[in-house]
Amino acid sequence: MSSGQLSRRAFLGAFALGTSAALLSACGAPATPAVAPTAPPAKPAATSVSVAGTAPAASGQPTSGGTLTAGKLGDVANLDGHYWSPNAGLHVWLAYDTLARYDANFKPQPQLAESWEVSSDLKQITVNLRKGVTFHSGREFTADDVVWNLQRALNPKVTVGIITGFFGQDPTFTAKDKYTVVLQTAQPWPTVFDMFHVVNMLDKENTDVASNAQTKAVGTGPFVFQEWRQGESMRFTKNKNYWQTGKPYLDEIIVNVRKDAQALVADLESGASQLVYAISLQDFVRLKSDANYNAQFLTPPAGMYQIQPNVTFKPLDDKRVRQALNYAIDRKRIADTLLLGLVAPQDLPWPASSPAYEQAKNNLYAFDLDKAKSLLTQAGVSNLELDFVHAPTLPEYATIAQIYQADLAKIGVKLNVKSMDIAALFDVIHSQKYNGFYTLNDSWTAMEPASTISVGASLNPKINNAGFKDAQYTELAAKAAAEPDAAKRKELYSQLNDYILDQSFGMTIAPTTSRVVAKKSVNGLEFRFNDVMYFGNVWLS
Amino acid sequence: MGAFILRRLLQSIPVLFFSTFVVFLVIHLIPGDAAAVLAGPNASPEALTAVRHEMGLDQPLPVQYAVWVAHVAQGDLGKSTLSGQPISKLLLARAPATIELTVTAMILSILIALPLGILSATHVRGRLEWLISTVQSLWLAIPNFWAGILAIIVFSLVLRWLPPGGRVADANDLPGSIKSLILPATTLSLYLAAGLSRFIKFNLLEVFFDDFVRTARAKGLSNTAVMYRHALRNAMLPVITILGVQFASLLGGTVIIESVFSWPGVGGLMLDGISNRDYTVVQGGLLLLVLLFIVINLLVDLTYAVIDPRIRLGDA
Repeated sequence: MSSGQLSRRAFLGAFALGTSAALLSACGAPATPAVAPTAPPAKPAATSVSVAGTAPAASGQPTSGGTLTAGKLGDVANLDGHYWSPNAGLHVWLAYDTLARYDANFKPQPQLAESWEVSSDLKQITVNLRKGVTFHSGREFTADDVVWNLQRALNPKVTVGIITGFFGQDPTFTAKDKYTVVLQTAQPWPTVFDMFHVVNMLDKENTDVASNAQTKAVGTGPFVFQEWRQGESMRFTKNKNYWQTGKPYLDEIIVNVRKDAQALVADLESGASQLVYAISLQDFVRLKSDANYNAQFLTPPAGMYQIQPNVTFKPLDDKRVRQALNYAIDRKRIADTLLLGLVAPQDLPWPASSPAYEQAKNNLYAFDLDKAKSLLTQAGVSNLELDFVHAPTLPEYATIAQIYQADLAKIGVKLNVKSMDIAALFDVIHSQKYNGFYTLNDSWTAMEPASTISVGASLNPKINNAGFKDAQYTELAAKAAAEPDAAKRKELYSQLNDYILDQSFGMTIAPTTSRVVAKKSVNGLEFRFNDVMYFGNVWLS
Repeated sequence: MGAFILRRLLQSIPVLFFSTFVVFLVIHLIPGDAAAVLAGPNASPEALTAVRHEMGLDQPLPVQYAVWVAHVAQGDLGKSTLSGQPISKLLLARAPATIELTVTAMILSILIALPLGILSATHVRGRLEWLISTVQSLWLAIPNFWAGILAIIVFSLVLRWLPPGGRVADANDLPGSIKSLILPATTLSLYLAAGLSRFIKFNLLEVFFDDFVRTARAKGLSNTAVMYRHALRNAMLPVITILGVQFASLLGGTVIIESVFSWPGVGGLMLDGISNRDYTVVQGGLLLLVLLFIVINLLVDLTYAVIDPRIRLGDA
């Protein structure tokens, strides 16, 4: 046996390892306000908010202590409190507070902002901060911190532009004194409380100003970040100096990351976890009927199942073709079979709790293949072949694609379903390189509709993944975003509904079904308006 | 011997860089990058450009690779593009889990395969051999993930004896650590043992007809002595080669088992890295795996010399 032979084997083995890796890649909560807001904002009351901000019925008085072990699917990308992803809700946000937080009736409730005054034109908001609040580092939270945080949240490098859409036009932030901040904008800012709700307050002395690459999560929140084992778990302990006296109740929260929804259910049913997030709908329904568990949707839904056509790809630039394809979506079948009848089909991009929701317009695109075929004929389109790109991380879309594919085939449209990993999908949709439809849940739909439009991926008139641009739409959206009067804003939203439905550049199917299942011993769960859960009032019985 | 080890280690340096270079090139051919993942679906072109620049992804590929190599040469594996966590920290957190799982699975597989292989060879064409062969075929046919899920249902959900997943790595909780290891290690080892025992059987059968075994029998040695002193020892050389290759491939190849049992190993870290296009994580993980592969191969070669004194490694 020679060393030459051995090294060749080592080389081939190493090469095989490298090739294997390459092949793999190919596969590859509100507190009781201490002081009520001095000037309640001009917010429209929600029409039918269900249980947002409420908890499963808790029995008995809250007791302190204990460790909550929770499980969730997939890890966060980083620890940056200004970076939002659907995964952040049960993770990093435990360490943070915001200036205000919506209650179940969509009314902003004081958090770190104790009160506020809003000018009649909605161009200036004076925020009076709660005194005596400290970061987990022990440093006092002051007006300078608010200014620093708001300025940082506007930096596209750290938020990747995700939450900058919540800010008014050309905003300025001034620390008037240690506990007072003045926010001013060039245009009225009716969505300011959305921004209050989503921008976490980070400790500037423990945060890199220009990078998401954080190794710590230091805020004022109910839980103190202790450790992140990337892809494995995250651990938080009770903030003993929390500004809400007596809270939080839990001593510790451990969030385990799982790669598979079945693993989450196994954790829950074996007793390894007390709470799991994002399990399959089938397991959700099964556990909902089990007296040992509380199974709830996070409501109002933070997003919508939707498909979006690439309007830069012919013949999808023709409105009639898009309308035809909209009529060909069997929303009821999808809602009844795939979504197990847990949500109702809809074609408006807002939930029933939204001020923009109009029941009368919500079923405009009832499934009608004859009408679809007629519209295609009117547009002179035949032998149409389209792609439908989706990511396996949202498995419902594979089934939606199959249903849609079968229906479109009946009117002579061939749909090629293509599954790709999320990085490839984002690359394709950012550059509109898809020849047909892409699918992703639209998000932020439970917020003020003007925010949904400016923050979401599908409706933003400046940049949307459909490639849709129209001066009329841009003007209408801008008017709604700057209209201080709630009633007039509602009228503008109604016009937007007509426009969005008519143009069909985003096709809503049904509300998303973010879901959480907890053991009955877990009490006091609260859901926020963007799929984030609040654990400050959670206690174990 | 010392010169042999030194020469092998020096030979491994180009292997290290070639394998990382190949993976670096291939992963960059796949659409999408870490900036796209971080940006999500909502990103504006301006934000994407800014993030790409911040991450250094707007640099030409050779420059990106050269920067990575320069850092590695100084012992710095860099930071995760997405999370900012040091790669060395991530690997140090995951490597013990991978080594713990693979070593335990290998030991278990040897403990299972060796007696089964011997029994099969000594009872060839008998009922016992038929039974063992049937079980072996069954284990080889059952997909790992299915066996893992079945094990979770039986031992975690029904019997509640063992945790369904996760790794307990607490020195003060040794029973917990062992419990968390049992299901993944056993699932993995049974599959390995099925193949290994067949290999042992066929090697033994081959050796049984060699002259030296016939001579040993002619000398009047007992069957046990013939088996353990002569046949088994000679049959083990190719078995050790296979064990070495299996062990090395397991280091990065337990992704499915890691996923089923939520075991935080290097394979899963790399798979996440690939999904997120977190190139530095993939490169760092690969470097570690190749290093381990080289060390294992070296150990296998050294073991040859221990088992068969005729092999003099330094002479080559």
